[in-house]
Formats: sequence, structure tokens, C-alpha cells
Amino acid sequence: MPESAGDVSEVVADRRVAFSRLRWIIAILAARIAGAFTRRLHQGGGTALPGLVAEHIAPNVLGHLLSQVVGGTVFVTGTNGKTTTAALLRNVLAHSGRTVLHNASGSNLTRGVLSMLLEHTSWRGKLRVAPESIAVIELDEAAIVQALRQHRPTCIVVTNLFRDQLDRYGEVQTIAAGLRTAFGRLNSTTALLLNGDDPLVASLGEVSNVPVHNFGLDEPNLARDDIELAADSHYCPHEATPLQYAAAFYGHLGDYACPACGWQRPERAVRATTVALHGFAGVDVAVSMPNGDMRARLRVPGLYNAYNALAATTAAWHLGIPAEAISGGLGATIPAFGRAEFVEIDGRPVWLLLIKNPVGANQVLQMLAAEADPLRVLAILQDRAADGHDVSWIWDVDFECLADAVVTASGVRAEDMAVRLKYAGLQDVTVIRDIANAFDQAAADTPANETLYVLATYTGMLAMRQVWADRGLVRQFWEDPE
Amino acid sequence: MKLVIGHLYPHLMNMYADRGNVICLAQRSRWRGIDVEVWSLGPGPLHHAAELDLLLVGGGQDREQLLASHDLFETKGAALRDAMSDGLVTLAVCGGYQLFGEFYRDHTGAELRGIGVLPAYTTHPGEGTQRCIGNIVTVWRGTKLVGFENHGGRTFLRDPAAALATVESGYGNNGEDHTEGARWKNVYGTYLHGSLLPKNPAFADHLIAQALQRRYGITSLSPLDDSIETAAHDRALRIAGS
Repeated sequence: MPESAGDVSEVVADRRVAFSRLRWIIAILAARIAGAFTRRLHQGGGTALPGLVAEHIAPNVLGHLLSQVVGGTVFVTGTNGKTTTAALLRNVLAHSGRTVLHNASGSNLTRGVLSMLLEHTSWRGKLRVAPESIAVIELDEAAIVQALRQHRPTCIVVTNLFRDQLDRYGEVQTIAAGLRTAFGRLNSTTALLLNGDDPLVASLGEVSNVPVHNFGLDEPNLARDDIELAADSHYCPHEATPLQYAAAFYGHLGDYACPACGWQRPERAVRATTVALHGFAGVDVAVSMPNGDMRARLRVPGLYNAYNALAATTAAWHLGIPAEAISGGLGATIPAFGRAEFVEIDGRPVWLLLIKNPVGANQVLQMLAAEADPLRVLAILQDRAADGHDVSWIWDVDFECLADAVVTASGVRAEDMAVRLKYAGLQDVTVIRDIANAFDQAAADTPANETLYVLATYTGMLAMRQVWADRGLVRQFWEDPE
Repeated sequence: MKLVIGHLYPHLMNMYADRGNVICLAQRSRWRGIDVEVWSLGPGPLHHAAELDLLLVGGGQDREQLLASHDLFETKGAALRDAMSDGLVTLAVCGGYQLFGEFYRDHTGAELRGIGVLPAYTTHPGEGTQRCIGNIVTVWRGTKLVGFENHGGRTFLRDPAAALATVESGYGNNGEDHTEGARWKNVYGTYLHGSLLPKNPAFADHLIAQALQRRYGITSLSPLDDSIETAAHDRALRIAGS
């Protein structure tokens, strides 16, 4: 059972409770007005502003609202796969007949979560949801630390920790240290559900008094000989020694052990025993859980999504969801907004693929490299806050595997992308900075019936979708660009 | 004709994608018909240092930088210092630059010893102080260099004449004296990521030319079509507001 706002310091007198309640009401009213105004003014979907306003007036309002979700609360965090893991879990829970509260638009800062909750809140601060409701909350690696100060969830899922937008998040070790401190303040009411194949994530499970369950892969067919160069944390967290990998899956995920101190991949409660990749069509997985085995056909493609499915499965198992509902919910999930999203434009198949850091981008490129040549690609590189201002990271992405592709580079940093591709061995990359024009050109150059693959950083992905939405080709969908 | 490029600590000091510098030097050499070998130089003794023509090292996380500094100081230091005295062309970026200086004093006051080939030392002004993050433009021998810097440490030069470049916009070595980077013989230290060399082909070719001159006595390089590199360079200048 989740507890309400956690800090001991919040043991307060009745008078202050009354004051708090008044403050919540004011915060909620102000947020409502802000939300109505942004929608009216078409300033955006209004996903973040109401939460921002409410948070400003009553800093602990998130904990107050989450404490009313009696069916349980799940926090999902990590570098890659948060949005897809949360979407998979939401569908699994829906499949088992539960009502789910979920910050579906990828608005993963506390203000985004608040905005979602406020839509279900009465002006007196009462959350109006079905009694069995469960909240599935996606939070970025910094926001979860803030959220944990106000609320102790039923469980926390950590997907992975990779290097990501250094100018924004800092070093991956710093992020891990922040999580470790926050997890150290938990108690037995919260379970940690961790990717045991990620040594840095697994090391977060070394906290006392908190139940920990790991998940991971046992699929020898997918084992690489060595970890990729873009991997970050292949050193033992206890010794200044490189970990040895009996199997490496991707990034620094694998079956590892420290030759110096013997620290190794932990026992995993939930394991994928078979993972069969079928390109963009999806993945077949067989999963072993403590309460039985389960098979599922995933419609989200790639090995990285098999991991996301495992993460969602572990949370569902922990919440007591039966295997059939898990399998059904996983199989019913299509890729989240912009993450391997399929659209048909003028009869031409188009895949929109988010790339945002080296390890994730390499996973996407591996899927592309398995498709038939010559690939037609539109690569959009931007350097706004949500993308990371530093575009250096593209030099750690193995674009060399696209050497035979026909590529148009676009976005604010189109020229940087073109230089990267030139040095990866691609000839004659077309540069069209404007995304709408670049898309039209790339689509026109793609023969009928052939697929166009659009690779885009975060704001590039939003801009591409906006172009399609303006033309009535896809549904308008607001996502918080921060 | 062949050039041997040593990539120092490719796994330890891989944080900011400085491997783009290795890719750049290798490709620009190959496009001119020069064979290239790239050696990965991880922790452990350094063999055949005399065969190296170019040496590159990038920036790492604090923890990895600590591991690298031990290996650099205790194992490879003497051999590297000899090779650099002998004119080995070297580019050290960010954390690598700091380790090639005299010392790095972190935010707790603890000191990491550098190998001291560059007349520079670095101090971290303490927890809570701002990192130097953002687009940067410098001027090196009349040519503008563009890149992205992201460092907490402030580097000071023993002799201002040892600076690699002067800052036009951004922080540079310390945000105070407008110097950026350092040089000694053919060793260059800098804070510029980006990666640095692909968008600054003139500087990349300068390094290749120095390596060819040292090994083969060749003083001129055949030109390449740099139109896309120049476009990316000019775009970065505009984004940095220079």
C-alpha cells in the first residue's frame, strides 16, 4: 500500500493541515484556469502548465493526490524505454480489468504527472477515480528523486542507465548516485524492480530493508562477443576493475561478473528465456516468472523493446496480474508516440524512429541494417534543450552500418549530421534544414511501395509529427518538449 | 605511406564522443591515399610508442578519469612523455587535457597527478559552482574553431603564451583570461568537443601534416572537398552567435 507524503518533517498540527488543504484547493483552481487558457490560446496541449502552476503554489500537491490512488502506484524511470515500458504496463493492467492513471503523453517531469492527475481531481482536491485504479507514472531520472520526497510508490521500475544528453543530465554515475540516495530512504512498502543485466542498475538494489526483484535476459542466441564502444558502465561498482562479460546483449547490458571481487549479475525473478527478433514486425518472447511461464508476441520491435516488455512484466507480476493478462496486454501494445511509429503517407510506408543517445540509436540502426537495401532515410538532428545542446553524441553512433543508404539530413543541425554520415562512408548526403521540405524531398525520392525511415531526435520527432498533423495525416498529440 | 593513430583509453575516456576525432583523422588520411592503423590503448604498459604518429584521448566520467590517471601516471607516463618530447602529435580533449597537465584538484580538494607535459593545472572551484557548458568559438592562428565545452574544472596556464587559442565566445580554460587549451611541442590540449576535428578540418589537417612531416618529411597535404564540413562549421558559428 502506498503511503502518503513521506517525510517525517511533515508531521503537522491540525491547523496546518487545514491550511494545506486550502493551499491545495487554490493550487488546483489556479492550475485549472491555466490549463483552460493554454488550450484556448493553442499554446500547446497544456500538458505541463497546470502542473507547473499547482506545484508552485503547493509544492507537496503531487504526494497528496497520489496518496489517494489506493490500488497502487508504479514509478517507471531509467534512460531509455520509460515511455514504452509504461505504455506496455498500462495495457497489461487494462487487460486485467483495472483502471489506469498514466501520464501517457511522455510528460515525465513532476509537473507533467501533476497535470494528468489534475484532470481527475475535484476542485476540493479529491481524486475522482475507480477504487481499484492503479497509477503508472513515468518519471525522468531527476524527477523521480523529487517525486519520492512526496510519495512512496508500490514499486519502482528502473529500465536501464545509459549516457544521455550530458549537458542536461550530467554523468550517468551522478544520476545513479542520486537514485541510490533516494532509494536508501525507502522502506519495505516499496519494491525495487531492476534490470539485473545492467550492472549500474543492479547495483541500485544494494539497499537494506527494501524488497528487490531483478529482471533480465537468458538468450544465448543474442549474445555478442564484447560490449559496444558506446557502453558506459562496464566497471565494477565496487572495484576499479572492468567487468567480464560471459554474454553481452547491448550497451553494457549482459551477463557480467567482477574478476576481482566476485560481484556478479544478480538472480533474476523474471527472465526472458527466448527472444526472437522479427525486424520491424516485432518480437516473440518467452518469459519465466515465479508464478509460471508466459509467451507473448510483441508489436514493439527490437531487443530494447524486449527489455521494456520484461520490465512491464515484472511490475505486472509484482502487482499480482495473471500471466494471461500480461501476455494479452503486451501483445496489444503498439509503439508509443514517435518510437518506431508506423504511418502511411500517400500510400508510402513511413517509420518514425526516435534517436536520442548512442546506445538507443545503435539499437535502432541495427534494426534498420537488417532491412533490405537500399535504405531510404531522413535523419533529423536538432540541438534544443530537449535534444541536448551538445550534438557530439552522434560520433558514438555506429552510422557506418548505413553506408549503403540514401540519406537526407535535416533539422537545426542538419550539416552536423551530414558530416557524421560522410565520415561513416556515405556518399552524397542531401542537406535540407527545413523538416517539412526535407520530408517532401525524401518522400519524393523514395520509389512507390518502398519504405522511408525517419530518424529524429526528440524535438525533430515532434516537428515531423507536427508537419503530418497539419496535413491531417496523423492525430494531433501533445507531448511536453521539456 | 602509413600513419598509426593511438586511441588512448577508448573505453575509459569515451564520455563525450571524442572518438569522432579518431574517425576524422583516419578518414582524412585515407581519402588522401594514406594507410591508417588505429591502435586501442587501454590500461597497461605502452609498447612500440615510437611507431605512433598520432595520439588521441578524450574526456571521461570522474570515476573513469581516476582509473585512467593512475594508469597514465604509474604505467604509461614515462614512455608517453618521451614520445611527446620526440614530437609525437597528440590531441587531448577535456579530461584528457586535464591529465596531461600538472594536476587536477577536484571539488573536495583531492589532487590527481597529471603527467605534466602541458604547462597547465586545473582546479575545481567547489561543489555548487557552475559547470562551463555551451557552444564555444575560439581563434587559433587566425582560424575560428567551433565546438561544445562541458567541464567543471578551471584550467590555468603557467605561461599564457602556451594557450592553443583565444576565446571568442564561451568559457575556455577558466572563463576569466580568454585562453583556450594549451600546447607544448606537438601536443595540444583543449576543452572542445563536437567532436572537434570533423567540424574544424583546418585543424585536423594541421595535425595530419605535422605527423607526416615528422615521419616522412612531407610538408604539404593534397586538398579535399570540405564543403559540407565548412557548412557545419559555419552553422555552428551562427548558432554560437559569432
